[in-house]
Amino acid sequence: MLFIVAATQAQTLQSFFDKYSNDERFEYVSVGKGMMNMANAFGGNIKNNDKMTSKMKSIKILTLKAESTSPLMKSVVNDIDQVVAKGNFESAVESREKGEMVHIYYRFSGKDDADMLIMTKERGEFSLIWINGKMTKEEMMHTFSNNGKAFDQMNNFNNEESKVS
Amino acid sequence: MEMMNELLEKYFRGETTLQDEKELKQYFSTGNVSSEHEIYRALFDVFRQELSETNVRPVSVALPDQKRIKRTWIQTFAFTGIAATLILLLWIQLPQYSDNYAVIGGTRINNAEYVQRYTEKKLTRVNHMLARSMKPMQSFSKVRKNMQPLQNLSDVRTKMDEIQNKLQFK
Repeated sequence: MLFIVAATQAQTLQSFFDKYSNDERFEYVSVGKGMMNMANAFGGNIKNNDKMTSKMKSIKILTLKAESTSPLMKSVVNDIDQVVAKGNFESAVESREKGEMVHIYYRFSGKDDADMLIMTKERGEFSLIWINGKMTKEEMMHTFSNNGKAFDQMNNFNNEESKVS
Repeated sequence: MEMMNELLEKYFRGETTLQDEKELKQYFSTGNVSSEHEIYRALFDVFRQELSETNVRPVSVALPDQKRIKRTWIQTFAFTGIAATLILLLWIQLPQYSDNYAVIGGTRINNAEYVQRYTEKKLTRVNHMLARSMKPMQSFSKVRKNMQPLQNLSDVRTKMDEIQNKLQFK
């Protein structure tokens, strides 16, 4: 039963990527397990490269370059909002600043089988990054932390908050 | 008659030529067989019947079983070899698709380096966007860290109050 639910969830997100990946108006990049094993594949972006990349199964990136008011952009955003709503995703981080927006969602489909969906909006560009792998929530949260230390800062803040309370 | 007797004697001694045997067969096939030779008629009739018989079984059935099994194995190995070669050729000829590719403007790009750079660029961008957004949190954390001595001062004050209370009690 759990397997069927997991398969259905994955299929919804998969079907979204399938729908737009071959569309000429989009840019689509797929990174498989083979490239994950390359130690320098992600430069300094991912902390503990070897450990993290070995846990990742795939990365899919879909980019649309269009104005935020265009019908296509509205349609895509509407589609992905529905996928997120139906796919049991939880919101991890949401930030909006000077016309830029980053929203990170995550979900667990099975034992340590996780999906992380990163949605970014900036001037004239909308990107979706779907990372799939055998990761725990903590590991997923540390994916981006080497250069920007974004999640580290957030975690430190949360830890201090808990100490105070 | 005597000639036939001699021929029969030679026949049973195994000294007859083919010509002699032919004559004997002709003699027994005709109706003029003397009564004393009648007992041999059945023998030569059998020879005549055997001559008229034809083999109705196919040659392959007559082959020994061992030979047939050996041939089957050779055929099996040969067909397996041919099939394996065909599969190998097809596998080599078919285009190899990997999971690492990009589709830009509807065109598929199977360049691993391009895929790697594209992914790196995107992830760096997300990282920078997050880092910028989280900057106020860093400042907040610093303030909290700097306020740590004040918290210690508060603890000292509490302890002093406790000691004072104890002294007053005494």
